[in-house]
Amino acid sequence: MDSLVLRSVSIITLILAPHLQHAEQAPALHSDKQEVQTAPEPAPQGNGQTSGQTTSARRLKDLKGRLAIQEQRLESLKEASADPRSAIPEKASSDSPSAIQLREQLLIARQQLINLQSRYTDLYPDVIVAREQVASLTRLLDAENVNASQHPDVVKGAPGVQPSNRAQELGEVTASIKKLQDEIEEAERQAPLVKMAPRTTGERLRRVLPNSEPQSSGQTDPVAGEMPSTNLPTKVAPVLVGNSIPASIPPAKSQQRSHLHHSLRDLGIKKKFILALSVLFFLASALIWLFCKGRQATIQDGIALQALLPDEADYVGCIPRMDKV
Amino acid sequence: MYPKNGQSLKLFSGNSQQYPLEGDLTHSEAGKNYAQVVHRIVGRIPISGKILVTSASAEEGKTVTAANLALAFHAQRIPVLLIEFSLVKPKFAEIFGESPIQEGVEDVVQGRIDLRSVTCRLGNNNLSLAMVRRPQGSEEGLKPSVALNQLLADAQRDYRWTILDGPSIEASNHICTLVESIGLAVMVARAGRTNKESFRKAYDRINKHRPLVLLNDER
Repeated sequence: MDSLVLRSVSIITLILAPHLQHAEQAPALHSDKQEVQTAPEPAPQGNGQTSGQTTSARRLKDLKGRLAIQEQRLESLKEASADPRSAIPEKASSDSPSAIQLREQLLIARQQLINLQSRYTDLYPDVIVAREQVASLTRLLDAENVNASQHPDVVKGAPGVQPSNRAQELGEVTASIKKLQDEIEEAERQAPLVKMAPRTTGERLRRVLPNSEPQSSGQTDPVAGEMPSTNLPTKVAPVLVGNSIPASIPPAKSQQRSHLHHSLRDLGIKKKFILALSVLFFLASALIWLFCKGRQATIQDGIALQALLPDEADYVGCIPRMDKV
Repeated sequence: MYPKNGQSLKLFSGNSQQYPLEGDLTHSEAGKNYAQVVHRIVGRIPISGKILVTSASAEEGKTVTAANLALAFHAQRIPVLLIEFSLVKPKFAEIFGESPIQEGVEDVVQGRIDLRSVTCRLGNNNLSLAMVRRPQGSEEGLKPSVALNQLLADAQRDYRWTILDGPSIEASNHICTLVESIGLAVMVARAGRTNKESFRKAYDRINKHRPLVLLNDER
């Protein structure tokens, strides 16, 4: 029964593997669009559980990125309120809406790049894309700063230098940080299993099914062949595994699913074992069938021989088997 | 009954220990059974004095049965001659060893020499036998002929019983005429080996001569 379940899961995984790979890469390419929005709800994409895992993991990362940005803003606002000279052109230029937006995007892109670099080599396509994003955003921000320094009037007229506005903004940022922290806590609480696995779901599936290699060439996997244990600390670079499981599912059921994930790990060996067993079983059945058929077709004893003979036949008897000397 | 010409009788020791030959061992189960079969054959009317041992197909124990029957006759002091009639795949040399005579039964059936010239005796028990010396390409030598009739007549003249280890019914085209010439056939089946269908077909081919049926190798 277990083997049947494993086999069906492996078939489903094989079918979903290409979709997963696609679903995994797609948000990485358009991440800047999603992350600049305020608390964007991850749109349902991909198929079933695996795509849900990807989007949830990305949402958590997004939330943390935004939290980092808000914390940096808070820091800068605190510095500004402490030091009146903070209204220097460079700082003032950051108050322009486009510059703020660019800086936020740059921070997000950098964090994403760091995350990706911790998992993949520099040749991995996502890393390349993220690095290009960081470079382009840096250029844009530099251009914006240059533009602001060339038109100081615009900069001086920028909002945010007034103490009352600054205090209001400080409150807003603090509230935003609090909200983001709550959201992160909520997201982490919903995830039943948080592991330090520096891998995406697609990577794990590719390892379970060794034939479904990533299509990009030149990629090297620094921790190939290694699977994180459930006993490992859960707070190190958390990546959700099976986080598409709703919070309403009881822990026992989610544990069952995690066992299924673990058993999937050995699926490569089990499949071969089951196949070999099936072949052996088939051959044994065929041999038994042939043996039985052969026995039925041949004369086994005197009674069977007499049954073949007509009544008038002269059956003189049987000679027992003699051992060769 | 025994040949007067001593030159045709040459003693030799065979290699019979490789094969289950217990026809002359009255204390063994198989020997007892062979003795009973000899009684059935001897008591059968009309007395033919000649027996062709055959089977439906190859490897069913014809040669071993013929040899054991001859030994059983010999053990009961009934003069018997064992003739190898399987010209294509002779096996007596494997069982009894190489014949000391240069000619064989194949020369007799071709009319070149007489039966006495190829008859020899086993050194350990004086059983008379005639062997094939050179395997033939076909069983054509067994088709009805003057030489074959002469061979059978010579055997009947010199011995009370002649046992002929013949080819299988499946392999020979002349089996029916051969059985007709000889008069009595013992059809051997081997337990666990003889196919029912092929046995039935073979039996039907010689059914009109009322062959005796013997099952060997029963477990």
